[in-house]
Amino acid sequence: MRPPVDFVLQEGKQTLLTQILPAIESSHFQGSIYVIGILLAYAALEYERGADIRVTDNAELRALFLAAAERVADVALAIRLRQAAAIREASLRMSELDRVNDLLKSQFIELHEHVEACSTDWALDFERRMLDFLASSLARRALPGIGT
Amino acid sequence: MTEDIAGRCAAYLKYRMPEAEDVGIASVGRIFGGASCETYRVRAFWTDGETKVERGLIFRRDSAGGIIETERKVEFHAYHALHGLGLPVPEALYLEEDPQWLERPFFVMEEIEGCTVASAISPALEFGENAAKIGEQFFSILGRLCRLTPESVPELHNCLEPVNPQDVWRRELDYWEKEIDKDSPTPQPVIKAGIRWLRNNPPPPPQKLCFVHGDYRSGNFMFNPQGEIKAILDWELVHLGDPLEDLAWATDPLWEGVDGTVGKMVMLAKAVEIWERASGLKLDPAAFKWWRLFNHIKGMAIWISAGAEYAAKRNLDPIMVVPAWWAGDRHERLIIQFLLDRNQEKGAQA
Repeated sequence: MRPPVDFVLQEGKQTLLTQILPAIESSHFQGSIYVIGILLAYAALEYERGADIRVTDNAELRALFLAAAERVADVALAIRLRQAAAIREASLRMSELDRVNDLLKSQFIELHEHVEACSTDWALDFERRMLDFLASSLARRALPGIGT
Repeated sequence: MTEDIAGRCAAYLKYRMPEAEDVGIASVGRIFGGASCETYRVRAFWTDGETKVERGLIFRRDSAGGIIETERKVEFHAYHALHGLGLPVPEALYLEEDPQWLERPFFVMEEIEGCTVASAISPALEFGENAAKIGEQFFSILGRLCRLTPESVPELHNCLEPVNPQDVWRRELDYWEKEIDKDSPTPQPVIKAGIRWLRNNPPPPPQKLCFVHGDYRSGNFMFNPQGEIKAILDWELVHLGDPLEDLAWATDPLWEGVDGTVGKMVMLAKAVEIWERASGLKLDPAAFKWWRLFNHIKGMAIWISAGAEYAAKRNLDPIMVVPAWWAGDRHERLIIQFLLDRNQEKGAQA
């Protein structure tokens, strides 16, 4: 069989920490090996979930923009929101998902500033929705602790 | 590389101590960690008249690509000026800015022997039964730093940028936002929202303009097996400012133990009590809240800069990636939680 990438990375970490690290004399390089092991484990996690996180993020951002476009009083902003919501990824490569994610996040920042400056009930509720999106996005990307 | 460092260190010590004879290096090893500096533990020996001397020294030099732009000169003067003022600060010996010796600026200070440094990233309770004792000292020392009147320590005061008390928060926030904008190639909606909140809700001026260590946390001090703090390290971010900046950084949840203790030492209320007693200052909860969020933002600036240095191949030490990934993840989640809480308060008031 062809071992999955995340499995290879996780096992690589185990080899580094349990077999190679104890054989290293320099405490500086021991530290470096330990850190590389942790980074391999994080890379394994990212390999498995990275695309899903970005696709979900981008879909939720588009939905937010379309919902806001219906309510914001600033016509130019509403147009920009609909334009941003129409941006599509050319592929599912991570770099392309990130490129679109960056474009959408730039638009998110403008919308967030606009909503914060409004004092309507809708704006307060919508700000909460935007913060909830950010919290969900970060939760999806959360990394396990180190040395626990 | 290590052998090269040994020879260069010996040559430098000979230059600094022309009367010494048979100057040599018994051992040299690089200390792990420290993303903006390279730190070497050097065991040096020489003959002084009839006396053979052996001494542990620390050589701390700028890294080729540091996280943040800091001046080795300022850090040297912090060690040099604060040593002997009742704070556990190692004795700084020589500052060298001439690149002929180690290619980049560095300074030499005494090695504190028989001590260890806690992990900056692990929440494991490594202080064990000494946790409360170490916490008492840790927050007392911070309080005693606040008791110093900066003008009374001219060596350090004179090399720090002056600031008007009412401008302290803005100067710090402007600086770190600029670092974020410089080093982040991607939009940062969480950080930007946090910065907007800080600008819209400024804190009062500091109760007292103090020396602020700038990176006062578990992981930046040395302690012995008896639980005695023997050295406060890493003064490279020292500046004049609000003492709450250090207290908020020292108690940041990033350094929390698995049992919820701040810095893996004591609970937050206890830390504040010790600090108030030692500093003679009173904690303003609203201002403290501001400085806590500020420190999450400042942390993000440092972690983003570390990632940028690595990505640009200016510093390929793998330690640079851990803050960018792990600490950045933690701090961003703390920022969003802070903003959710404020949004809830706003909703309750509406």
